[in-house]
Amino acid sequence: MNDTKIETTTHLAEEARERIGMGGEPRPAESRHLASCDRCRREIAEIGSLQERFASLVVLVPAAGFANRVMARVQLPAPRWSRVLDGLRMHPPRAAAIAATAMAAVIGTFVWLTTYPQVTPGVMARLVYERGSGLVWQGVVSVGRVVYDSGLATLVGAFRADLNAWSAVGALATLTLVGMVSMWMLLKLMEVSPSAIRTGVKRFG
Amino acid sequence: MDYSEKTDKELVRLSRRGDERAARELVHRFERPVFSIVYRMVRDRELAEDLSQEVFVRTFNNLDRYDRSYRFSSWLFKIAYNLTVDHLRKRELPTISVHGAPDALTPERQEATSLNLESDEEAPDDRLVAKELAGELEEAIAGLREDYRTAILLRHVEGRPYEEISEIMGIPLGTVKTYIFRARRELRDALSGSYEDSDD
Repeated sequence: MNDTKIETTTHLAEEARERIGMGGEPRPAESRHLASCDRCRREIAEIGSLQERFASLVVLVPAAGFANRVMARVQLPAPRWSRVLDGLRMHPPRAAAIAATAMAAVIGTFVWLTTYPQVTPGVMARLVYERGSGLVWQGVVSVGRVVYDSGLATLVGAFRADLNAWSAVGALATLTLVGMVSMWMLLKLMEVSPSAIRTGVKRFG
Repeated sequence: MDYSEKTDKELVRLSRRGDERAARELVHRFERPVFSIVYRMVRDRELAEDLSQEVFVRTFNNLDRYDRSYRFSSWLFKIAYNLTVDHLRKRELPTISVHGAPDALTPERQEATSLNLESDEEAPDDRLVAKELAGELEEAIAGLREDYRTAILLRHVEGRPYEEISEIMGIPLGTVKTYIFRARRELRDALSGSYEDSDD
């Protein structure tokens, strides 16, 4: 009984034998033990030999085109922008409302701002470019320039003394309504059918 | 964007958002290890291809269930292990020779289902020896219980740590150590002749 205990407690642990057998450096105490223990040395050599044999196994690879076959069967979630776009396509009135509101907000803001004599399109352009010169900003400036050139700002400016928050809301609502009707008619003219769009979409060929 | 430099978890995050290139990079990164394990478990190339495909399809279709506190590779191998073991138990496939599946009655079928032991990096003589050794080891691995086989392949071929093997196989760490210890003993016994030869 005592012999068995001595036998199991004096040899290196299985983890240590494996670590050394798989190429790890023995610690000083382990080296001292190995210098006098045939059994541990033999077991470490066996693990090392087995590891060498495993290293000789061929790397098994699937047939060419494996990734394509996998991807053809995978249903990844659509990208966020695509989900938003799909949602809008499914609900043309909502899409029209959002687009018209955005348009009205941009136009309304520019009209309002350009009624101030000191705020010219040049000043606004500089302001916008200082804060970022992305495509969106350039688009916004272009819209402002069109609004200014159209004379709408002058027209609104003439009535500026009578403008208050309610009239601004009314003007934006009117612009939104006009925008919605325009977008709706545009969609009708293009005969955009949400179901046709959805069935036509193929994410993976 | 260079996807090859991204971590597994970053690729998973992008895949969850619908980024197909990120998903494809994950497939490229893991197709060999997954296929290798599955192939050595089922010993049939066509079946291994089908099962490996299914592993990736299930993985991507369930990405929202992936717990990011675990390694992605652990989760992927866990799916591979469960799917393969389920398949083996349903089909009750016997362990077969490296020379082909048991139902391979024609030479063509034997060729299709046999393990390809070619290695193109060695001289002809070395290749023959390597082929012989690899063949013996493949036979010895095939003779192991499926859970011993999975554990030893994950440890020695894929170099996975014990903790990860425990996660993959869903068994306690101590059991993993026991499986690997016993698998080594069985392999040593099965290969004892060639061990002696190689020592000479």
